[in-house]
Amino acid sequence: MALKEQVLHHHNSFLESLRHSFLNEERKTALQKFEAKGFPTKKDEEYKYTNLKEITEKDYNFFPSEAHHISKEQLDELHLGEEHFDWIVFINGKLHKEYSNISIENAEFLTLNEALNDSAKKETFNQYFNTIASPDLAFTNLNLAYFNEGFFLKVPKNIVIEKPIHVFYISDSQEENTFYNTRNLLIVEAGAKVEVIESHHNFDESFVFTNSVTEIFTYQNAKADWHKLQNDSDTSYLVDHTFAKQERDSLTTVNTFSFGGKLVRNNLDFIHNGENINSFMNGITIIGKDQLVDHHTAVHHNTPNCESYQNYKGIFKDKSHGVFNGKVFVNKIAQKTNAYQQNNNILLDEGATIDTKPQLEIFADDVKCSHGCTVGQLNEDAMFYLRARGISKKEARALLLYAFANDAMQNIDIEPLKVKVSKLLAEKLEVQMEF
Amino acid sequence: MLEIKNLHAKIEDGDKEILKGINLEIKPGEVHAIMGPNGAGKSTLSSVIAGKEDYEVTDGEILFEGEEIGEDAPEERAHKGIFLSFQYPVEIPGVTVTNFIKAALNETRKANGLEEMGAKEMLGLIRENSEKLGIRKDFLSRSLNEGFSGGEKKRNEIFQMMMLNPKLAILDETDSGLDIDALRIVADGVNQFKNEGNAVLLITHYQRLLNYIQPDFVHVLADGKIIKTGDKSLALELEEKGYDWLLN
Repeated sequence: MALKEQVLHHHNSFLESLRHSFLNEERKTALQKFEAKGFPTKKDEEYKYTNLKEITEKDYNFFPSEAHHISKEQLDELHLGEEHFDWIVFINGKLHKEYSNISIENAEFLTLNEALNDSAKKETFNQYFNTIASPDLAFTNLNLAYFNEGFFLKVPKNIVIEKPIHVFYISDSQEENTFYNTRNLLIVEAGAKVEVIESHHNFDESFVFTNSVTEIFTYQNAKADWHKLQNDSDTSYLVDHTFAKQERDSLTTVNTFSFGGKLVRNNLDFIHNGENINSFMNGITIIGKDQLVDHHTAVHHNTPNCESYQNYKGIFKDKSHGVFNGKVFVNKIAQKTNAYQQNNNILLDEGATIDTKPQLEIFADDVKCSHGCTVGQLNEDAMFYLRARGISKKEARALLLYAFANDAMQNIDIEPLKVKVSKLLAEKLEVQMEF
Repeated sequence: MLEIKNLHAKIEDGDKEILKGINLEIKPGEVHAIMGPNGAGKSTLSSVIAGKEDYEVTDGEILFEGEEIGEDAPEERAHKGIFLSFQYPVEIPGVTVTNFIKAALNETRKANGLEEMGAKEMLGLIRENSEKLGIRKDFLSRSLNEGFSGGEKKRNEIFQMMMLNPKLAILDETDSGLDIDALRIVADGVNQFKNEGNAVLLITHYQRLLNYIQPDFVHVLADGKIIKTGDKSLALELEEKGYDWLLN
């Protein structure tokens, strides 16, 4: 059965499996919308370069078994350094408090089940949940129809969360292919500050398809950084859609580090709703074999005097395939917009491909918008320079690629994350070196 | 130490021969200077000795310590003790001067069957050499060559040379783009480096550097051949008369 039929078939059982009916009407409507459109195909302009067939033609278990064999040691290996972080662990779709560690006290966690049991929290949840996720897209509707638990956090006014929060979504001991709909909601009130790291891990040989939706709200003078660390197995598919809505004088960053996964589609929408907003989007992609990583970004400059910076670097080995589509919409009232977009790619092997497409739609006349994309190979003179200093070809290549990717790492201010990204980079380039 | 016999070379995919039969012998303890007009093949010669793959040796041989090195990769030649200071050093953002030199030095040590140098010893050596060249501490934690002035780049090349302590140092146009103060510092570094056991090959367009580093031999390279060899007075003569009198 195609995934679409499975989605329609299992929905009633899914709703029955929930211990509440809080969102049932919304879920049913979402399912109907999904049914009307179905999964996008290559005929859809937005999926022209990314064929989803290998995802949508598999059979999946919609009800992952809770039993798992994740040990403390396995978790330790995923950590970036426990002392620097708080963390939340979901295994097989369920929150595991015994594996999680949250030291912050003055912020509100709004896990769905908590929200249901507390009327004040329920109100907050309703106020934000699913208000900026696009109501017309197949994957967002599918997510609404099927999401269960997720990471929900509200950081109150002027609270600075010192330790970044690492959210782990783990799938383990599943005999069949498994389908997850993960959901995140982050609200950062005026003057507050928080950093989140999100990572997905499939420990099985069977396939995992994760359809994730994240909504981020950043208020006046608040700062939110969301880092996606994508280094999942070869039997993992991820379709992510992150929506970030910003109010005046706020700063939001979404960094996407894509090293693993069989097929990863990252959708990112920034929505400006005030003046003097800064938005940063950085991406480093290094993939090989027949992996595909697709970045679709859209910045909606709806208000004047705002700035957005996109910097995506891609390194493609073997027969891997990269896609970058960066949209910038500048509304006619959004004067003095400064929008910058850069996508640079290096193809290391003949079979590797990149499709890159900047897309600027500018309706204001007093703006500064720049974009550039490059596709190239490594500079041979630079290779010779390094090799003439005694550095082997492989390591020289790694150093140059590190240098190439480096400026997309500039605004990571979590040192252990920077170290991790550097390590993964070395690993992907098959060298043992510290940069 | 270095023996070049009847060396012919061309650009890998081209037909045009650039080196047309070079003969050169450099012994330990010697300083040689190669001078010549633009386009004579000076930089090609240094690149070919260091093993740049863009060039193809069509005839002749390059012996280093009696061993043919023509087939060696650039890093293998570096491991054997050949160092090339670049005219245009490459910028490597995100890799600090310190980390780069550590990687280069330890790769060379490993290739020669030595243990990697410990952090403490490395730091000591870095401090010693950077002090000799008047390099400030913060310079060492900057990204390699990124945003360096011309003088800083060249000083950094000499610093790397002193760290790697090669047997043969080839300095390709190290003097170009330097003001007098920077030139003096670079020359001081080379003079401190030089000893009875190693050798220096200076490639230069101007005589200026030779006021600070005294060569034992001066060769004139023109149209892919060494057309004249003399002592340091030849450099002065070239400064005065130019190259034309030799070419005709």
